[in-house]
Amino acid sequence: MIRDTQVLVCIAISILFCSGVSADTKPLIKSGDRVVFLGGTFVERMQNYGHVEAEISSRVSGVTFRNLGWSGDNVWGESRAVFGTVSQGFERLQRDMTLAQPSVIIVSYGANEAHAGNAGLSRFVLGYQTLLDALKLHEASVILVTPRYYENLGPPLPDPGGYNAKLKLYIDAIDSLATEQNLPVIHLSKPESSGQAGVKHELRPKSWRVLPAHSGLTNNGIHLTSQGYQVLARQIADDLKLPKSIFSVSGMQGTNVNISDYIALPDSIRFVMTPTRIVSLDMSGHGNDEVKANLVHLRFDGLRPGKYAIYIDDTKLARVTANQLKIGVALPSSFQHATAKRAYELTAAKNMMFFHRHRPQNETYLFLFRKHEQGNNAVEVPQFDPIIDGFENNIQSIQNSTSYRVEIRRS
Amino acid sequence: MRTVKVIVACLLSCVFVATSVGQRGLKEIPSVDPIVELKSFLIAEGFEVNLYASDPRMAKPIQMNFDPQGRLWIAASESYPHIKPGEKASDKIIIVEDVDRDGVAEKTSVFAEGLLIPTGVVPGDGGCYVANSTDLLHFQDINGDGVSDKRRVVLSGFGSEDTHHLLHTLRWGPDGWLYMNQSIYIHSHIETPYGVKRLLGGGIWRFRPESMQLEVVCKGLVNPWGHHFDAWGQSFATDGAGGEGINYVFPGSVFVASPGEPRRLVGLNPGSPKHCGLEILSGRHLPENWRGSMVANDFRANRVCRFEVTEDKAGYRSKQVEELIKSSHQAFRPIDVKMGPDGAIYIADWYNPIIQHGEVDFRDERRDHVHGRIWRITAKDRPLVKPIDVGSMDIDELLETLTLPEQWVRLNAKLELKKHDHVAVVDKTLKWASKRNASNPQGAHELLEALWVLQCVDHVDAALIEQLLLNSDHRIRAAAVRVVSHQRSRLPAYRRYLSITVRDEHPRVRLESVRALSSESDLAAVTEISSVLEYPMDRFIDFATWRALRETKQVWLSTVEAGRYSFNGDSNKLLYALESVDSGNVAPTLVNILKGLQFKSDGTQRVLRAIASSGGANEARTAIAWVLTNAKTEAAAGGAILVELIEEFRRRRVRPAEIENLVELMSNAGPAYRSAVFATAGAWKLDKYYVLLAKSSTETENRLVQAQAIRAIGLYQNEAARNDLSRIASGNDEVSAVAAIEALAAFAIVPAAKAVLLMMQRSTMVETSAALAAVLRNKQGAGVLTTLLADVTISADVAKTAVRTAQRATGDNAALIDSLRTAGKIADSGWKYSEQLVQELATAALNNGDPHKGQAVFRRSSLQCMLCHAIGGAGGKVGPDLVSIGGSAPVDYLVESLIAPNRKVKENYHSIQILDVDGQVYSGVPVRSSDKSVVIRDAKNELVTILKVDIDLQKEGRSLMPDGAVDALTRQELIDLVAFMSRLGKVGDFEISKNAIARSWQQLLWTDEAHHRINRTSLDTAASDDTALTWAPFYATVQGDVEIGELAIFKPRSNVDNVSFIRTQLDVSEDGGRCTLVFDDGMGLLLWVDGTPTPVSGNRCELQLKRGQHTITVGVLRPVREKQLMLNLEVPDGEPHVQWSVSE
Repeated sequence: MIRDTQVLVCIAISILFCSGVSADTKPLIKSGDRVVFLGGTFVERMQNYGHVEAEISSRVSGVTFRNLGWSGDNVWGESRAVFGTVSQGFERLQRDMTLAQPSVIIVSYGANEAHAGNAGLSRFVLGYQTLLDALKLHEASVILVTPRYYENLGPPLPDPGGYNAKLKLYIDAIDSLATEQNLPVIHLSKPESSGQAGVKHELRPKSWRVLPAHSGLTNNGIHLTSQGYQVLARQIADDLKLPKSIFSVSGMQGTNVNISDYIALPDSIRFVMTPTRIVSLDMSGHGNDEVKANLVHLRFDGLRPGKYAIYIDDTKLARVTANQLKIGVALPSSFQHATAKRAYELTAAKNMMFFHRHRPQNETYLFLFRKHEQGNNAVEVPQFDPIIDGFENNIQSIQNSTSYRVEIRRS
Repeated sequence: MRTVKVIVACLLSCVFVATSVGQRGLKEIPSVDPIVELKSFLIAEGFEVNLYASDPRMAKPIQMNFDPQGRLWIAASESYPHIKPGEKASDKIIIVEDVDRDGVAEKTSVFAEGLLIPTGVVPGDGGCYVANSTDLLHFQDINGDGVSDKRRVVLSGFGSEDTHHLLHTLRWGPDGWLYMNQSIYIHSHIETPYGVKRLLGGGIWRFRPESMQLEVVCKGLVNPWGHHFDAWGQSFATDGAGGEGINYVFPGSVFVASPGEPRRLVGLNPGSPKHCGLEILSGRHLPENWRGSMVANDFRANRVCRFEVTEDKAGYRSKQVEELIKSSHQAFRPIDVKMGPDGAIYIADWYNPIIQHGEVDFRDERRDHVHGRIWRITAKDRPLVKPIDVGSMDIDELLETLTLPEQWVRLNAKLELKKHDHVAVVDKTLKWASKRNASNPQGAHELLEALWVLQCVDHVDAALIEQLLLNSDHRIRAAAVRVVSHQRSRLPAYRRYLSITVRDEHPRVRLESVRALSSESDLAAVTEISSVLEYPMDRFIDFATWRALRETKQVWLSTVEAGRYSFNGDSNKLLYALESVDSGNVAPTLVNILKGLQFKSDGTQRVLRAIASSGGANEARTAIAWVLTNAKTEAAAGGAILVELIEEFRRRRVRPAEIENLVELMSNAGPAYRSAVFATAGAWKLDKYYVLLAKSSTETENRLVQAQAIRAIGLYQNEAARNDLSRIASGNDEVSAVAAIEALAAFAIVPAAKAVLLMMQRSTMVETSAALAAVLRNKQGAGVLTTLLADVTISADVAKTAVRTAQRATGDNAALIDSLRTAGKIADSGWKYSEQLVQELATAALNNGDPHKGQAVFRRSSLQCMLCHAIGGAGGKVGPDLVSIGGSAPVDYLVESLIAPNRKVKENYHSIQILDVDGQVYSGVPVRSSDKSVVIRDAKNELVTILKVDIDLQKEGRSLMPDGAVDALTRQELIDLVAFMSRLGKVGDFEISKNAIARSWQQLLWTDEAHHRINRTSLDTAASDDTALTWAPFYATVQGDVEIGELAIFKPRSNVDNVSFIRTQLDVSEDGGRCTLVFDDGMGLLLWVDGTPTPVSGNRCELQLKRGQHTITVGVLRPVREKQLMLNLEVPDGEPHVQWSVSE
């Protein structure tokens, strides 16, 4: 059953068509960019929860991504040291960055370092400066992302108040560093005010059978859930100054949509619609508001008055009047869900392949001090490159060549 | 009870026909039919085995755990050891179920998939936790269809540098925390709300999912693939690569191969094969004498071992007894063992003819990726235990199950109680506890269970804790102290408890208290930690205390340095504390301690050595002067310790203040100090004494003095030294020449190399090894010598020995070896690696090799195998213990490792090469390191300490196994040797006995001096520590026999029988240790214990010994005894621990 609320009459479509680009709204990512993410667990888990990649791709086409997240890492590359010293971890960071060939580097450090509090602050700033200097060699634009404040999810998880106070110092330091070096900076959260200190909890929870109640964005106060990444992805894309894509069809003209096989009759219109990129959809199944944000706008003039049904690939999506169509209607883009889901899965698979490429299991035998034993199998590692390219091509082609048959028929 | 489902098995064997054909042509691929495997089992008396579950419904089980409903959860990986490019990770979590409870599973389902080499699974929190590559995951089935539909990353950042080291061995502790292990190559960096937790190398983690608290319990162990708790919450671990059997684990313990740790604990069964999995048996189904036994899998040797572990003061002792099951089937790879819901023992059989990971190619087609079995072992004619599903019980019923003898039921009940209303659980538990009788052991244990329940629901009850801290059973008190340590932040009186328990009458309670106090940060805690030193120490509490003082050094060190704290003036404690740290300005304090001592007091040498390793110029002066003043009647001992001190100060570049004055004092103090004078003069290049040294360097009548003088001259490193040493080096006196070349090689490589060449050209001198080795220790040595050899001819024999020396020396000597061969006109007759040769020899070894002859080849002294390799702990430690090499390595790998040793090197045996600031090269396997120094074991099985400040360059080295080690062997000898190695670790003639046989001996070598001494005195001299006697390591055969024929023979006088001497050592843990030495036959044997002649009655000798080390010397009268002898040690139960000594 189709509910009328799912069809929204476009109120001021024209506004959406004019978006001037001024200096401080210049998008930080452009078509063709290779974006490399660098950081700790927050970045590492983006490999599997690819919402940020999806969101950026829904706004700019032709962008590729490499994820260099490594849990527990910091500006010194400590987690990357493996058997070596911390400075060797830092060297590895450089090598992996070279492998990733960035044109844009999005760096997110500070969350782990902040546990050291005020005492560790100057060392952190120095380390971050050193890192930024080193990244200059890659001739990519650098964007800083500040860490998120921990959420207070109540006991038995710890009260993050103390940590968040320390983190504030580090976020301020990152801000100063960004100002000094004239780098854009993205903030992921604001500290919780005392009035909104997390979810209300009994002092002693009755039981924690599964998990403590949580906000939905994190499940442990510090690491994002899939939903958390999805919500944050939109914020990050906004802060990257990437305008939301408008998908619209007006007569034979499409915006971000290619139209073909267009047949208009007095009682019906048929055409094939191929969006040039896909909207990022709500993967979790909730969050209707977000679905509403991604719409496909349709406007047709010249149909006979009366009621019309809109079909996409033979599925009836809505019922509208000729008059509504003349003013403009907006369809929820849920028809793209399957495609978006497929792209999302391919993104995770692509990231896994790159993981095997830059941080393969059994490194000890492939590249390190036991390479004389299994080093012969190291030839397999670069074999991941064409596989990664293949996944990327797949993702691109899903994003710009999935077609939908649209039929608007008097009923 | 059916033992095997025959029909299923027949079907299975049909399924496998295709696979078998595919593997035909490969070597040693046994039949994959489970019936064939079943028939190969030899099982302990009174037990039987049946096939519980098998492929094709499940493949490659790695870890398994039962859930409270009795379903078996299995982590299974077909993609191990390494994912292929483009392959999608598709490994699984499988649930196997025996629905009709007939002992054979009939239902299998996949709970979760898409995993990448999952190495651990444990049910819990409404689903299961899975160790998956870099993550710990939690899977849940929300909609109830039996398949996970919710996947959550719980922790990330575990290392993945090696897929058989990944996070593994998931276990719930009695405290309701999840315990997890990782292996040696793993470097983990885990973000938690409390900060990043890092663990580099092996160890055990402790994790509470609800609060995300994550702690490291212990560090080290190569592959800690087994971990279990005993009934009192004490932890034990096994190691799949370190060979020390059962390891007793306590918080803060450190074991083998933990990076940056200067000291570690040794396991309870040194010399034992390696194990995977560990289960402590319990429950009414098993015979009484099996309960409490620990079982662990020796997957290399296709057997499941059993250990009896008993208390030994703060720690435990462990004795290996009869196996639970063993097999000759080479693909039987038991890797996990768990008690099941019916009280039977379940064995996960990974089933694979290939187990090596690094050493065998990832893509070796013999690797099995499809099979896997679960075997079920039951006691014959004993009723099974009725499975208990705690999921259907209320709180009261759950509490009642805590009285049951089945440990897994009690654990399930505790975990289940976490799911109930916590307020109700606390109330009911306290009520239940109040009805227990703390004065009987069962009641006390039930109270401990109650305490753990409270810990599981995170409730603190001081009253119950106090009650248990006062219990008469020390095991209960120790467990209560552990809980105090865990809950300290909410126990107002915890420090009061610890200040009492640290003085408990039982050492384990003291040990737990010391560990609890080690995270405190006040001097009162330090004083309490040190108070345990007032009680008898054993190796466990000694380690715990040493580490606690090391960990608290921030608290006490600076106050000690400032003179504001002195461990209440107790110099023993102060010294102990100072020895536990390797930093800080502690020397002035040490000097103060020294001033209060007599030369012969206990601890004097320790204080002097501590000063030598930390003192500056003034302390050095004071220490040396103190020895000269105080060693009056002990001049020989004084001289010896002075040489040691001076050597250490020289290494640390500390020049004692007023050195000229000191050396003057030494010169006047008598001949006992002559060595010290030489050492001092050389160390600080004192011109005044050069003439004396030069004179002494020609005194051939006292070789010791001469050698010291020559060495001291070398330290001057000036023109005079160069000239004088060059002259001696090229002289006719061989002994002087070698010493001079050694001294010269360190600073003047060209004359040293020239002198060696001269030696080689003198055809009468064949033995140039020591001099050549010294030259090759210099980084330029090989190059210089190669150049000098250009137009020179040497004899073929000299060339051969020189090539052997060069092959065994550090560094790349390929060019030198070539020029030696040219100079000696000898061909390279060694084995040349080729795949074809390896295959040929491997096939020949299988078909025509004689393992008994092979053992003789292995024991040949010219091959020096035993210098580096032990079998079952008997032998050197440079290379891996070969005790189960045949069970683990395919034959072609054995051949390859003999003829091309550098192609594959076993983990933990990779050498490092160090170039020091003087241009000397050291090569060895790292043993331990501290902030200041690195200790390596060199190719001569000797430990070498190198100060970190002296290291110029450090790099990865090669295998210490020399190329060409087996070049001298004939084809048949090599084939026999391989045949011998391939049998090691397999059931049969070359199995290591579980008896406590003396395997590591020393034999008395025949030397002129020894002959004269024994000739002039009595045979008793051989049992004394007379320095004229030279002893060399000697090892028993795999079977435990001392091959008498290999021993040196003494013929003291014409009227006395020929005799050979061997000796070994016993360690006794406390006074009054009773034990019996049992010879295979007492005929023709003489026995001394600590030098005292001791009669052997029949073949036995009963002893009662004091705490410490004791020497057992055996004289073998020949030809009364000509073949072999075996000495076994029997220790009655309940006696203090007595065992054969283990050297580092």
